[in-house]
Amino acid sequence: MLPMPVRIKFTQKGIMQFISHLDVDRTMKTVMVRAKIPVHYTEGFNPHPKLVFGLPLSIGVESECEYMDFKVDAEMTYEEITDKLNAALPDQMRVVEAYEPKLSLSYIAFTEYKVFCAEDTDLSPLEKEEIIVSKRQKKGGYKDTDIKPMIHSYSRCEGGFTLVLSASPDAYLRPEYVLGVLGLDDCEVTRTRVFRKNRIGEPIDFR
Amino acid sequence: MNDSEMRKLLKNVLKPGRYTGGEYGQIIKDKKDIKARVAFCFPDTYEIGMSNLGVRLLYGSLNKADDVWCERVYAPWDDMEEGMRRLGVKLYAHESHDPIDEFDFVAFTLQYELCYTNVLNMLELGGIPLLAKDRDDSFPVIVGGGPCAYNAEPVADFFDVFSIGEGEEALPEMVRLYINMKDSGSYTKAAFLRELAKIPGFYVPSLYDVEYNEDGTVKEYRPKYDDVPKKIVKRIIKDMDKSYFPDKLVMPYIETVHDRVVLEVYRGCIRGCRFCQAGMIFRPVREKSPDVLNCQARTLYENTGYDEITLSSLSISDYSQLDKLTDDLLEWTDGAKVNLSLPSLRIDSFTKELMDKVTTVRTGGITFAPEAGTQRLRDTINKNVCEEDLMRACRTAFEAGKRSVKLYFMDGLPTETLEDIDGIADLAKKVAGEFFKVPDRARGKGPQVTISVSCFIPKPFTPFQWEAQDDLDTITEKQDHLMGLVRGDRHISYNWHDAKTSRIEAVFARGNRRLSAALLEAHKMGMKFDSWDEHFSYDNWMEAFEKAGIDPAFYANRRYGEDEVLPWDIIDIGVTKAFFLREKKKAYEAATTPSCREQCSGCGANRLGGERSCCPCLSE
Ligand code: SF4
Repeated sequence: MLPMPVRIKFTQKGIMQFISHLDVDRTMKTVMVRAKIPVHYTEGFNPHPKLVFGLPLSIGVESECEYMDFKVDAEMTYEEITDKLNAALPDQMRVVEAYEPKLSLSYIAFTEYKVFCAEDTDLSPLEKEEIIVSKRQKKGGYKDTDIKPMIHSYSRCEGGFTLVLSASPDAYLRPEYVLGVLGLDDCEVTRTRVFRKNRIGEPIDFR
Repeated sequence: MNDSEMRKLLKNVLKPGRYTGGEYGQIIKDKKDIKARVAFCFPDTYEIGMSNLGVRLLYGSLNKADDVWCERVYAPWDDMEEGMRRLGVKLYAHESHDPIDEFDFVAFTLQYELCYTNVLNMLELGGIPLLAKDRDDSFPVIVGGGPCAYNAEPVADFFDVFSIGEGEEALPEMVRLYINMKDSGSYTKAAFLRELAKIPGFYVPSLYDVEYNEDGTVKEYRPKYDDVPKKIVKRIIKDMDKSYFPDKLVMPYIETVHDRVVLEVYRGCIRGCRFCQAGMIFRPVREKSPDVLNCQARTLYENTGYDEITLSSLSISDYSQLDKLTDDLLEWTDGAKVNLSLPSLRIDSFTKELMDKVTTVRTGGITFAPEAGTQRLRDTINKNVCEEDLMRACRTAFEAGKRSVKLYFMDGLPTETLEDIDGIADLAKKVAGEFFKVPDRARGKGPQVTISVSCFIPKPFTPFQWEAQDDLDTITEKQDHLMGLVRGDRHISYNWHDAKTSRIEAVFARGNRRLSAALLEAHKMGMKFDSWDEHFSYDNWMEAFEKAGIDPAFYANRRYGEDEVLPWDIIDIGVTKAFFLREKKKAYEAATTPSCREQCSGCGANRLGGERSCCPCLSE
């Protein structure tokens, strides 16, 4: 029997915004055992349960749409997986749905955040031609970077505004850089959607 | 505290996962059903506190009652404390995020003396006056327990009551008494404490007058009322098979010190090393049955998802059914990809078979604790191992492909001379030499023998409780001497414990109530986290002692008189003073005492009872 591929979409609310990506990863490993889901192991010298995550989530940001892929060495329905996981997860993480993935998680190219703040917050700093911030580099260290090209769009909404930011592996923009530019360091932020690119490079829903 | 306050607080702290709560397995209750709330405080970091077996047990046993809610509290690290003080956030419990001064009880587990400054700091951060006499009935009852409570005198002024001995049954009884008195309207803190003192195992320091002799030694402990016991007998769980066992654990998000299932195999110790407090205060030995343990291990694995199980007790190889237990466990752990680990292996029990069974032994480092360098001194401390045992054990390890061995020693032991220090270096060299005798030893580099030397601390309730600690100069001299002997030997590395920390520990370990003045001074000077190198300051301690008019040498470096009233004489741990005196005498004759399994030495602990104990007097 071939292992069954599974993608789960899950939320991280409340205190989960303070738990680092690495620790969520660790947590998921024990969750799988508690849920009695036989996760398919990696091959090789040091086999371990293979869990593949979507985007990292910044500390201080909640999420309605985190993703994780794995394979299961058993016959189970997706509903069963959802239920078992929810019984084994901490309260503030919930699986919204489990399904068979069609596209790799690396197709994720944009994410949307909702920022909760005063509705008349001045967003004009985002209109500038160039927005230079000191941005942390993948390889370590900081570098002055123009983040304007990585801000796809923003629009006001009830209770604040939404931001669509680049999230492709080579141009991942953390929302805190944008919030820093707006002087909104303390507000509540939730990741609300993720997108892939359509043929002309515009965001369409990722699943 | 609400989410937005929490966000402000946690934004810039290191490892916010230390302070959030919300873990899987935490216990949440509806406040309207609750009659008593307990804030269970561990006066050190979250990572250490979450690993503590005692906390896991007491958290569960207190929460068994539907009308009691016990929550967890840890000491905030500097960055968090700074934020809390700046934003005016009081120390809060992890489950509800409510400040601890709103609780009915604030309980501290006292695991080591160097956490005392944290206790004071946590009370302050919780908005609770430090001294018991300054707290009216509106404040929580402050409870202490754990190993240091056996001589809690240095912190007696800060606590309302101490729970002496094992708390799984005692603490729920204490809370029940409180609820009953509240329900009947008879509660005042004073009335409650007076009643509580009648329950075995509770020591209410304010119910005793302490008188001192002119030389500063204790003259007498006098109960203030007739119905207050003269001595407090420690509590034990008689039948470990029936003792409370948590079938779930709180699962930390961040990595903690012991991030795994810890299975308590038995309590107590059959040995009787003369410096070891744990070996005495937890007497008598009470084992759990292998079937019970196997079943508990399985349950905990399934309910936690941990991939490692540690079998824990003071000396695991002394468990009478270790083979059966490990065989039973291995039947399912291998298939489930769960590792077994055994800490505290005795030198004479280290075999090839055991190595094959235990993952951590197979893959990790090998550590042995001969404790002293010569047979004479090993006999003096009653560490019943000999050089041949050590060589055989090391050979076994080398034959299995190991190259590094760590050896634990203590210096400053009673009767120790430089000859005994020479013995440490000799042993290490012989161990390294053993490596080359093994035909199929690991290739490449030679052996690596690490000697790690800590300082002897005279502890209450041991045969060495009357001994003096070496002064700093003597210890430094011994450390330097050893350094001279092993320096340049590329197969041996040497590290030693800071003698200054050990000295402060010794002061508090054998301290009396007068030391609370020094703690207050230390707290005023902002001292905390003294068990952390980056915080510990010997000079600050000396300043605090001086301000409080305390001579540390009186407590650490003085030989206590055999007929002196000891500050901890008010506590009865079962083991008698007469036994300690006999053992002390034998120590000076370098005479050993057999383990409890070989022969009962009449320590007195059998008075307390206990199932699956090896006290012959009990099972007869
Ligand atoms: S009573 Fe005897 S057997 Fe029991 S703990 Fe004491 S010395 Fe050991």
